[in-house]
Amino acid sequence: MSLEFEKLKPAAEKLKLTDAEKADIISACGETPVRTKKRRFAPYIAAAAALIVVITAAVPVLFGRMGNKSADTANAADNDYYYSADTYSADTADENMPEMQKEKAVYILPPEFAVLVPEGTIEVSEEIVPDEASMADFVVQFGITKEAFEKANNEYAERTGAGFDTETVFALAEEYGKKGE
Amino acid sequence: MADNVTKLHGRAEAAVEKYGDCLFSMCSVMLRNRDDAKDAVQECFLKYIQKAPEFNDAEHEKAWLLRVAANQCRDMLRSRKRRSFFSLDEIADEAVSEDDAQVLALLMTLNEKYRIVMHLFYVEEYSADEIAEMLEITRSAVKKRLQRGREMLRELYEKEGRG
Repeated sequence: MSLEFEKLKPAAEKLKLTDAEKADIISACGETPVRTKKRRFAPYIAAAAALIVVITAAVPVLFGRMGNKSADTANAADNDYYYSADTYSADTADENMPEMQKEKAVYILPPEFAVLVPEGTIEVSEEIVPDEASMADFVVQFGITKEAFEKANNEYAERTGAGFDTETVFALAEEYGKKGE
Repeated sequence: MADNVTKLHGRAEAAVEKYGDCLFSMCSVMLRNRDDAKDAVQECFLKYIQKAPEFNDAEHEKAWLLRVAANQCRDMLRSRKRRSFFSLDEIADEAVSEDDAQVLALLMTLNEKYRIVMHLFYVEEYSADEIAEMLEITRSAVKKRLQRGREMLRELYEKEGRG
């Protein structure tokens, strides 16, 4: 029997909050102070945006450059304005979006790999079994060379009986590295 | 002012009812622990109240919450030490069949990077492009993680003697 990934949906959807848990969350929300400071700037931002739109629209008219344009073109300019307004609204939410975590990750890796970085840089555990993606992150974060990685990986494989697939690690590392450029 | 605060709390309450379960499901898969998953969901809604973001539509709101939840899970995974995880029995109690529970339990054993992408793709049914945007990674990284996640899940499934 082959694995049907569609099984994940009904199974995962059964993991639900109980009514009591929902009530707890709602109650915690009710006790949380609402931030209002940012709202004070909203009218000014909106006014500034409107001013920019007026200036953008007025300048070509003042210089007589809109005169020969068709009505369709004028509508397109209007549409651009409305599009900008929508974008502004979307940006407002995105601005509130918490930044993706950029800070240095804390790595817990097998001891064989700790020698590749300055002492105390990473946490070490003999029990931890990271996968290739985590190792790729580590490689990118600390600029580990393939040779150095292979050497540590061989020692790790000797101890545990199975090492990481270096090619996969470095293929992923290359991709993560490109993303970080 | 008081009206706005009441309105926002009302909005948050509606959002808990509407998205609480889907956030909890994702956080459960990510954190593999019921209490942690509930804490993560609660943190998401506290941020919802504190940030009071504006949304274009319901999809935008859901995507924002899932993104906040993903960040929250990452933070929690980094900061916590060894914890008890969902047992197969616990998942089986919730899941529709033993086999479905097994597949979900196996998903939970994958690295977090694969877990979240597989969850968003197969459970929340987002496209690779949408997942890429949500997690701020490239589309090709999403596809690669999906492919690798599927391979690993298949391997584990076969090892369990179910393949």
